[in-house]
Amino acid sequence: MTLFKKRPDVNYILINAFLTSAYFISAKLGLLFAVSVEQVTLFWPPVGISLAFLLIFGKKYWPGVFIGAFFANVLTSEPVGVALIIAIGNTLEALVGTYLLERFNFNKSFVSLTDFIRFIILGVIVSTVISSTVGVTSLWLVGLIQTDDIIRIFGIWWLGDAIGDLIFASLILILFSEKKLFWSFEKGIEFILIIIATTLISILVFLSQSIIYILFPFFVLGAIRFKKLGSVALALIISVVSVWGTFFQQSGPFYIPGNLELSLLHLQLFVGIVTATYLGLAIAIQENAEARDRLQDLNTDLRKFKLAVAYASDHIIITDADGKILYANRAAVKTTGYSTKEMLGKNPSLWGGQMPDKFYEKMWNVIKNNKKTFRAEVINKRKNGILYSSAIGISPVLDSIGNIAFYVGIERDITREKEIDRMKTEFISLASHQLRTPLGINRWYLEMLLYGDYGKIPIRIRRVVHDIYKVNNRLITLVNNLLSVSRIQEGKPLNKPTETNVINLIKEEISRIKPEADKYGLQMRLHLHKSKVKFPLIKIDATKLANVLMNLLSNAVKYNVINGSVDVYAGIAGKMIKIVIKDTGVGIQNKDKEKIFQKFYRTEDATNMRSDGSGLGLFVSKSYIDAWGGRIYFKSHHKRGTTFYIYLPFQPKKV
Amino acid sequence: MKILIIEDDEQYQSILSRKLTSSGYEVEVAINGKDALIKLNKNKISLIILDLLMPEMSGWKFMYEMSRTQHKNIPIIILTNASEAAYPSRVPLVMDFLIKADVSLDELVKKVGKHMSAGETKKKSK
Repeated sequence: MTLFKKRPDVNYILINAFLTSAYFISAKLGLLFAVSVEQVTLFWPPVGISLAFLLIFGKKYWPGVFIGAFFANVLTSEPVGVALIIAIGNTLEALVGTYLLERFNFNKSFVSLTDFIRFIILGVIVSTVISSTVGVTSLWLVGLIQTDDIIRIFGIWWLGDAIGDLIFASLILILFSEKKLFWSFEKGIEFILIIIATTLISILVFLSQSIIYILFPFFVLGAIRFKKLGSVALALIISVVSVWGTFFQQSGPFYIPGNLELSLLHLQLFVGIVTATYLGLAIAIQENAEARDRLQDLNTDLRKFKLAVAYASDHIIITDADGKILYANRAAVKTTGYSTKEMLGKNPSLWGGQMPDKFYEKMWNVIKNNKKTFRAEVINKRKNGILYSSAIGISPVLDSIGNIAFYVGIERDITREKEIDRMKTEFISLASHQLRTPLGINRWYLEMLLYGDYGKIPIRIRRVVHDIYKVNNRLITLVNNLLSVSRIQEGKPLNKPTETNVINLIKEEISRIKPEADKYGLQMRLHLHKSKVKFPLIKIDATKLANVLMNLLSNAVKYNVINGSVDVYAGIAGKMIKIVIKDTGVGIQNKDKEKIFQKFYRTEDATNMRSDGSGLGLFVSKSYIDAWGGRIYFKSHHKRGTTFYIYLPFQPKKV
Repeated sequence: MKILIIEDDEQYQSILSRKLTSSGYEVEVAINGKDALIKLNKNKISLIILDLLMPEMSGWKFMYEMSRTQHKNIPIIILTNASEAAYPSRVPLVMDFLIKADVSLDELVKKVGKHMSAGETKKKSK
């Protein structure tokens, strides 16, 4: 509560003042009902007010309680010292009560029955002992009560405090916790009617000698319809009316003529027990209703998810830890051909079993032992016997301890995709064959011409034939590169790894390119790095590696200068084979460096030098090297030369 | 030393025959796998040059059939334009796998020489 945000000290004083006045007024009211001893009464609102206040706003407002209690007591006929001590006792009671309830996690809104029980034990029963003990002792010490009466007075004091807490503290706490009353107009009217009816009936009961039990239905109604608020409101009314009736009118079912104190005692006991009972009932009902609401919400959510899974386009099944099917969605019925009934309780091998044993062994190892998701492409069999291709993902679902509780299996029918793949591959295969055939024939005819198999040809003609031969070779290279590119793009480059001696391969490719290098007077040198570790054979597709090497060597030769050089270094760097190809050629300009590995990219310098480049060589090379898990990069100076660095792992990745 | 060329394309047949003959070998030509099996029985063949995509009986089928005959030990050089060729690498007698468009005639002749003499050496050592 902050009335003055900027002056917390003023705020503090004001609130304390408020508490003090509330305490004082209600105390004076309560003391009106003191019977045998002026200072002791069965009707004691202040204790409830102080407990509730400290619980809600904090223990720091204890001065308000202390001052209020002091003044309330000092104005009765008791010595100042006694008033002081009693005030201390009352303050202590409120503080201890608050402390105990906070310590035991009491929820101020009375959310659960446990809260209610804590309140009863700690607040109503236990803390109230403090003030009564302190009070009775001090009054006895100054002689205001006799030794014989101690127990009786203690009982009265304690009961008064207890009921005061029970009714007033709970009322204030509950009122405070109901932040908004989401009542409709009708409900508001209903509440007012019940209040009025209860008031009237209780007045009737306490004015006459009617049976007290008439009030019970109203309690029940209040508790059920208006829960906590209803029960404490009605308790308050009945409490007030009954005390008024018994004390002032000296009538009602509890009135014992001649013994007002005993009458009030019986009355308070009754009110206390009834209030506690119905408040407890109300809390239990509310707890129950809230639990049911939460369950309802969960149910709605669950239904949503269930629908989502049921109608998902992928086949989804759930099995227990042994693989018995617990649930199968619509798509599962569609893909497997089995009905839900036919699948429940069975194993997914119902539509499986087409793969080799090793496959299923691996699957179980991954999901059961490693507790990870297993993904694969698999061939399954529908109910009608037809085989189909499926992309599956099986995930274990673990419980809170980490044991497998369920498996979730998802399948996607990829038969059509596989079919399209197969057709694409067939097409590429066919196209490559069809394109290569005439190119190959041309090549060999031209070779025979050039070799003189058809007799000697004049030099002029020979040159032309040679040009045609070169053009034809360009076409062959283009077809080969297109084939590689299309396969790389599909993600399925053909891979035939064999144990390969990389050094030998380098030597072979160098000797292949040597004729061309000789034409330009280029020096080609191979330097083998001497190292302690022997060059290992690595399991790699030799054709592809040869392709990569040839691409780089050919570039080094093609874009070189007359009488320049090409140096090839081969060595070992860590767990990789390192190959360096250094040329003295035209180099790569800065503006081209980023794009040099792109498909079809040719630099201006390259294009000016030679028209026979497809721009695919570096793209293909990098794709292979990356797929193997290696590295390729370069350093270049325009017009000075380029150096390419390749790293191949000892164990290239299988593509 | 006779070479059996199994090839369905006439121009390839012509070029291969001409080149190998002029290199000093005797040559026999079959137009597909079926024809080849017949020719094998009628000739003493030291080396086979085999195309893969052929009508009536493909190169793959031929290799399978051949392995069940008495001729199963004759060395084979596969010479094709088919790149998909997942050739049965477990066939022990396939000495080489060459793409027609990628290999020069010169290289081809060299390979023939290499595998031919290896086969001869094998025979002699038996």
